[in-house]
Amino acid sequence: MTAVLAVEHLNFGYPIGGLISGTGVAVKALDDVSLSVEPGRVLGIVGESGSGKSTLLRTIVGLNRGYTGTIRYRGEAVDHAARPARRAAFVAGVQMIFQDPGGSLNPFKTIRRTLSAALARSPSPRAGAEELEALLHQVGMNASALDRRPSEFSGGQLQRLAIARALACDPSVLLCDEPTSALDVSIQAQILDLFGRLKREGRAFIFVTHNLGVLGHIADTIAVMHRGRVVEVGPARELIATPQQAYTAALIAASPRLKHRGALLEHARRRLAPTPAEAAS
Amino acid sequence: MTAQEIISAAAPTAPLLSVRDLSVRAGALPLVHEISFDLEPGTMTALVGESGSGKSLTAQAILGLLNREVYAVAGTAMTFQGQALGFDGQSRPRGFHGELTGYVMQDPSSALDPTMTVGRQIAEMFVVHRGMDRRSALGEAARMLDRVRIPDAGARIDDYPHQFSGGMKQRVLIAMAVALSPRLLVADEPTTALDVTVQADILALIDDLRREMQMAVLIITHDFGVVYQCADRVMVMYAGKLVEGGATLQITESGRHPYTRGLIASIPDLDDLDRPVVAIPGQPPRPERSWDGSCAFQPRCSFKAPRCAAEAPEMETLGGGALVRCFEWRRVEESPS
Repeated sequence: MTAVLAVEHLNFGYPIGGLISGTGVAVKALDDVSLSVEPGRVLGIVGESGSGKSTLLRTIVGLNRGYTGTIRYRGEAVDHAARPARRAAFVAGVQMIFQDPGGSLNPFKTIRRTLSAALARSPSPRAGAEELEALLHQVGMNASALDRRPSEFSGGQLQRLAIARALACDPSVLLCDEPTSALDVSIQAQILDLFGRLKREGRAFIFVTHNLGVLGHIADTIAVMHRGRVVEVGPARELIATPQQAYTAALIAASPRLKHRGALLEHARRRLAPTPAEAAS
Repeated sequence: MTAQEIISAAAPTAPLLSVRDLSVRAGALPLVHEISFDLEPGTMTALVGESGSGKSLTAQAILGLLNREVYAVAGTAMTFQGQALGFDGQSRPRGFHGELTGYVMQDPSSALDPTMTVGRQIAEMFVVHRGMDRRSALGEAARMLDRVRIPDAGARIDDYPHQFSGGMKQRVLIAMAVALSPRLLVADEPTTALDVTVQADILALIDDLRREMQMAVLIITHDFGVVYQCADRVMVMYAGKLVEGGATLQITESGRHPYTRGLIASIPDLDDLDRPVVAIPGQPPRPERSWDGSCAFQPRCSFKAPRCAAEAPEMETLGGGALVRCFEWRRVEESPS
């Protein structure tokens, strides 16, 4: 199957110091990253803060300018410098979902206005009551949400509404940046169910999280990022069962699990204990 | 609630903290309902539940930190080292905050003063409570920073909070909370905002301090993985009430409350990728009438019986210090987890 979205040799650096003079050196946030995802598949990206996983998503959707490398959507290179009209298919087809759902919903607007505006921007604009209801139905909500504002919803409901907004354009790819990290586990499971359904509809996901358990359940492929590089990539289950890189193994060992009680603390103590050489000095 | 219906380890030691029927209201809204438990020295107890279940309010009410203009705190008894604590938050023994108890808040960045060096913020504990001069207090601060494993602590005491990463700021807060070797450490989601490797470090650190100082730890978390790995005992809260309590292994392996079972079933388990992640349907109730004449969990409950909608269940005491608030707990216990 051909990839719906791919990045090839992507490099990006954030300038540090000398922002105004432009003489600053760049800290490498993405270092030769090449990844791809097929329709109906989930590419999971795991890594710690600063590993470049959010930067990757932001660069793909065009929020970071000045990258090098190629972003391909349905085989064609995306030109983020091109006029919006020329990028319309990409903009509608690749939608982003953030950790904080409030960030993608205008607090002053009713859900009806937010979703109508999103529908109006879709490739085949249609924003009747029927379409709005269908959209809410897709995320497990109903028309009673339409005339309320974001402040009237709980975190889990807001994330559903943010997903509904993203679905308005009928995207083929959803880029999710820690979409369940701010939610309670019972609500997280509801949202993962919803993603599972969208996946079966044939939508592709790039799913960024620091929670390997979540990726173990939703991802087909996992890429591990560390300091801007992809250090390991492989089928989700294989990568979790037999990690090839020490860094991946360390992330797995540090995940709190419901087995081997006390192993988490033991492992942390071993890692923190001074090496024999340090202890002797 | 009778004296037996308390969450207490079978240990013969006198409890460090004993709380009976603690309730918190905001105006007419009941937020925490008649919570009773004991904390033993040297043990870690986890308080688990969804956002809004009243976990943080319970902790802050014990510490006497709630704003009395907003919250009304009541109860029948609360003692710390055998000494009575008032519910109004006013009558706390001298040195209660800092010397007897330490408190670590969830968000490390907002808990530190950005205009003061990290060393001075820790040193203040020694200046105020121990009457130390600034120089020796800074020496103690460096020792504490070293103890929470900040590399090159002697130099880092002159840094400001913004020069520290999130995990390091959280360690600074822990250093401040345990600086005076308190008997009780209350940690409210101390690792939620952190990377997993840093989380493991912080949990190991808290566990070490607990052993060294025989400190009791009350850790608030919504992560059952963290609970399973670190805590001796667990209390599960739902809509302001304790619904289950007991030893960690008993709760995680054969929980008797449908909500506890639901929470565990909703965890994506790294060790069992074939086990489906099962969501608890619906939303937690709003606080107004959540326990009025029915069980607050019954609208979301898969074990629901007619009785559950007709009356609110009382807490039942079972063997081994276990407690459960559910009419149907026998059915839950018999069902495979």
